Amino acid sequence: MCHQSVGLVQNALEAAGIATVSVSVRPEITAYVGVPRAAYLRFPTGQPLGEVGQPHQHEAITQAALQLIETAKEPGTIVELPFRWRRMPRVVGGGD
Amino acid sequence: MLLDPEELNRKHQRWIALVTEMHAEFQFTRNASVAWTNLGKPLSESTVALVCTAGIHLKSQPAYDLLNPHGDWSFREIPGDAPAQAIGVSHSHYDTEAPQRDIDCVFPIRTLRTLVARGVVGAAAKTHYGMMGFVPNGTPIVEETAPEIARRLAADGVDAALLTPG
Repeated sequence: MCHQSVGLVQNALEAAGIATVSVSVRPEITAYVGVPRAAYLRFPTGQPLGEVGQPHQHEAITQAALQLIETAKEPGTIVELPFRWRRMPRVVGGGD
Repeated sequence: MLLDPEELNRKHQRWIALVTEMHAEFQFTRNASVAWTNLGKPLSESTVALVCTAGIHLKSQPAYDLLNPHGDWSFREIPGDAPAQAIGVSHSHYDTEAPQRDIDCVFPIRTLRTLVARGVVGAAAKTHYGMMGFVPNGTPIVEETAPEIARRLAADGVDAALLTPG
């Protein structure tokens, strides 16, 4: 249901002149609600941007998702990002 | 890579079966039409906001109402410079263990600051927004929450937004 809420807010932002992208781990919900652009990852709920203590993974995924704002050509674009779960080397720290 | 429509349809049918079994009052809410805005400038010159429905809020703010069967469609303002340790998670419909340990798993506030420092993103918005996405009937989000967040972000001069679920 988080995905439904994301899609409803996303569309309102887009209609207000803000270009948006959402991250989705449930593309069927995202597609049903209807959003301008979404980045799909085969990740578990609660960790759509990656694993705990993986700032480089979060950064790569966030950057790839944001770049969809520049590259997507039409409303309803959902692109699967080429990241896989538990394949990134763990790093320590990287927080505030 | 674009998604396989048949895979999407199978997932969608499974989701409908699961949700209707778990939440008798659930009403599927979708956008009447999908909006579109061109960014109009490079990301590296854009101000980017975060909106997250994973139940995030400042620990100093009231938590979301997790007991209301209709959900909680209120929102919380998260300052763009808020330290990660100041942000908590209240959500009863997914396992919050990961974001409790590392908020960037759902709300990439430190990550966005890194992207600004690297020059990938022009600036982080002065205010981001948190919500708790369990709202079985999305109508109050469409009518109240979403337009208000949109109005505030537009007033802050935000160019682009990244939205993340729980």
